[in-house]
Amino acid sequence: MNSSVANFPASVAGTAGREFCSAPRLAVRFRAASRVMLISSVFMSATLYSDHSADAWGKYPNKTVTIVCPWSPGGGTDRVSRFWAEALKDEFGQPFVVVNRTGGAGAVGHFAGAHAAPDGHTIAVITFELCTMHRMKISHLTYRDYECLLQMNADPAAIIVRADAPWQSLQEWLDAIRTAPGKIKMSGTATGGAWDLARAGLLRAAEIPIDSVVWVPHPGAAPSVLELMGGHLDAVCCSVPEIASQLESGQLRVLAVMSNERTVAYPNLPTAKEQGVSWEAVGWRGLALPKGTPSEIVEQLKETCLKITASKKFKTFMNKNGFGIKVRATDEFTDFLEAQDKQWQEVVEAAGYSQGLSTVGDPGPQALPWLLLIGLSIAIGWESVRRTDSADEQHSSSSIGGMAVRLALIALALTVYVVAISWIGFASATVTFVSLTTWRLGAKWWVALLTGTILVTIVWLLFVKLLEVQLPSGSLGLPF
Amino acid sequence: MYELLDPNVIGPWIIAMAFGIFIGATPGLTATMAVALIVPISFHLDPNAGLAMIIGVSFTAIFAGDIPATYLRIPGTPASAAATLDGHELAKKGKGQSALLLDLFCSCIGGLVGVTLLILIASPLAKFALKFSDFEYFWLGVLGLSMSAFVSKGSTIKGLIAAMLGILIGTVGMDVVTGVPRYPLLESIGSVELMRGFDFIPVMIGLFGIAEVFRNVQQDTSWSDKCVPDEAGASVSETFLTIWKHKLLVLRSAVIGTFIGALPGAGADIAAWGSYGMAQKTSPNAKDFGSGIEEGVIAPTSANNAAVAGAWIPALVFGVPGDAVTAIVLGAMLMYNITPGPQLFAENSAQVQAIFSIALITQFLLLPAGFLGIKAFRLLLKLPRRLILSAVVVFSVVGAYAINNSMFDVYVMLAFGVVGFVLESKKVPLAPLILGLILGELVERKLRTGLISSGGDLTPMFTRPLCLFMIAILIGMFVSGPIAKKLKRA
Repeated sequence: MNSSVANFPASVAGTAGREFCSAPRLAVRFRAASRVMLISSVFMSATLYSDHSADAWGKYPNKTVTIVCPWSPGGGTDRVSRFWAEALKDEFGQPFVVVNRTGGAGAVGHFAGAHAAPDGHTIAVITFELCTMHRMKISHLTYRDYECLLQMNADPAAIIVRADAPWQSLQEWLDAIRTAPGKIKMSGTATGGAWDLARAGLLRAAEIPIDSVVWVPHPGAAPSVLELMGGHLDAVCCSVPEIASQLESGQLRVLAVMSNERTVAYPNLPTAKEQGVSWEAVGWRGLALPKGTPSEIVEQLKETCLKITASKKFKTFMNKNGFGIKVRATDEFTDFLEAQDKQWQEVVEAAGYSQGLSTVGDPGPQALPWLLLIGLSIAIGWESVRRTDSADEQHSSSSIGGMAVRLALIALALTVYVVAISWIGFASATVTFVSLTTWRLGAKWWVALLTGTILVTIVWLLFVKLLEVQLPSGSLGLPF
Repeated sequence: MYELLDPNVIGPWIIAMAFGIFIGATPGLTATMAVALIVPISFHLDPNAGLAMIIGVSFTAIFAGDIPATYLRIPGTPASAAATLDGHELAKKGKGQSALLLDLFCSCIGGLVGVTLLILIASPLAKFALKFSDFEYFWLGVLGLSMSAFVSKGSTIKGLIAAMLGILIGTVGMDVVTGVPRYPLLESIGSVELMRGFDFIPVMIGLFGIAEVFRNVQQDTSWSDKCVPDEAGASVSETFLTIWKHKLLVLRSAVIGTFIGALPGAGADIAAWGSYGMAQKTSPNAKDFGSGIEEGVIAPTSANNAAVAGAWIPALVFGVPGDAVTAIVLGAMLMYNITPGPQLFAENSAQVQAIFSIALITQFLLLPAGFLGIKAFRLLLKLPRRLILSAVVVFSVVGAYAINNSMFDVYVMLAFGVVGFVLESKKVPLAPLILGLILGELVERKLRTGLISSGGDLTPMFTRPLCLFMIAILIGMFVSGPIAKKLKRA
């Protein structure tokens, strides 16, 4: 079994080589380097992408559909995205591939989803943060930048404490905050993140100043839960599925769930409303399409998605993960988002976050860069003073000149290659680049061309076919 | 136990390990990505087969990252950046194969030690890890950063410059504590991508991979030559002798690696560097580190595989993932109707035993898989240099792109290729820069969240017991050298 590992790249190269062995004869007339691209393009379209051209234009989907997930692999949103990729693939018979675009507290992925080509071949996964991040000035995006397709999940936020914590109910906990403001430390996400705003809204509804709890920013629910269990925090605010196993094992306790009714998945957890605080904060997940996607595609996807949400497979998946099911499609979803947007605007303003964030004790985001700039200038200054008395670089001037030219040429070639990828796509740019460089570095022209084509084939097989990595296709929209 | 030897388990397991070799040896492809791809497939398989595939991939990928780091000076995973020091120097001397064989066996031993500690003392170790809060992580990060004073050959000032540059590069993007863009001007002229900052992996691929292409251009050798010198074969018995000679170092590195891996805020990369710095500090051959000595190969590789095992400790004991791989695994367990967490562990159920057995057997399967991986890679290196370099460029582009499906990362990679080349030609070492990039964020974030938590009070930073302990180590590291020198003179 293991020997196949060793031979794998070699055998791939072998078959690819046979496939392309007629290349030199075909290409005999084309000598000029500029035409290398043309030939390779023909190869590329004829061999690699034949499966795309096969079922023609018009029918949707006619190529791989990308599902943009704004959160990293392993998280709940990623799991949901991968479920949809599988389910939609089964329905449409075309590959649906999850692409994680993380960072900027969800801003990067939401942006990428909203600004993709509106042809139905990109589906954006959108989450709760869409309604809060533009209020926090992280992004300009709102739900209005999408064609809202489907909400499939809603999980209320909850106040979670250690099993041995002194508070038995939400009111006891709130009283503890009232009597000793600034004592209780909480986390669940970064400052201004979804769960921070949820607990801010809860305190506001209970008429307690929002800053009477210290919010310690941690990058997510998992690290916050560990800090809570280690006794470094007093409570965590996040959704219930995120602490399902600790809840089951009796390490943690839920004081209140921030929803109007008890949830189906956890019917014995009390709500905030029944404990006298009327406040609802729901984390939700949904699918959306870039603004301007043709309405017949939206309609087609909506029908298929609703068919999936009605299936047993969907319900089993959601239940096993502890995700609450809440289905709203197109217009109903848009109305929900509009209401959410308003609700969070009030909280952000009440929390004073719209004026920018500052927390007691935090030296602020600018402290470290300034410290480093000062440190660097001292160190570089010191180094340049010291270096004047010991000349450690000795090169003959003639070789430096020639070397600099060669290095500049390589840097230029690499830059042109990378920019070309973003224009004409990975495959064409790479065949051209590899063929030209190996040819310039002394290989025979047909060997060079063969090398480029084989290399791209290997990369394509390994990455696109095996690893489902979508390689850049280029802004010019060439079919190969 | 026997059900693990079922062909329906062992087959996917071995395929996954082969896959892990490829993933690990390709910069930009991570074990996280591999595991995320395996999980949906594994739902169609027996849960044991799924777990075996996931565990198999995560352990092999870390070792395989050392293969290109040793031969081409391009680390395949962030945890193998330390192998670009002594491992690569050995390869330049034509001892690449024996260095990698040593690396492989140490990976296996490191993994075994890590898994054994996981089986024996997971609960106390996890409880210990819970004691780590913000200020403890801050000091741990400072300890790691101070290693840059040891891992940089030549001028200490240049090492310091590199470390500070690394931290500065890491500050671009959104401030993790307040959630606002740190350089509003930069982000408003750039794209939304700049808000994300520079991802570690494209920067690393640039600094090593693309910079290596420039360095090759600089050398005046023929383009049809091979990239790596001819090598004498490596013998297993010699490798065993070397390991026996350094047995304490192997064990100590593995234990350090497990502990660091068990901390949810740290990982295999920090474990590798920490153990390398520690080995150099305590070795009689301290000044030869970085010039291609065996101890410099042994220390990081024993630690990083142990750290992979360590990461399972908080995941299994508390049901809270410490890193991305365990996060995916915990998600998968839910689908298998296994609820991870203390009950599962306390009951010592069949599932936990299966996980332990799989993790142990994986270490032994790593030997043939890794060996064939080394052989396959050497085979590829027989191709002429012009071809290898083109392939390095292409794979660097794909790797940088694949990490986040963004052309921005490809531009970043290219830019850092130039930066890496310029820095090295000015004799600024890259190792401290990598350390700064890995640890800068941790140190800053933990200091600031600690201060928020204490309301701006600095005292807990110096009075908490574990903080005191780490401050003592820190002082010891810097003072021990000069004192020893003085004692010798006296």
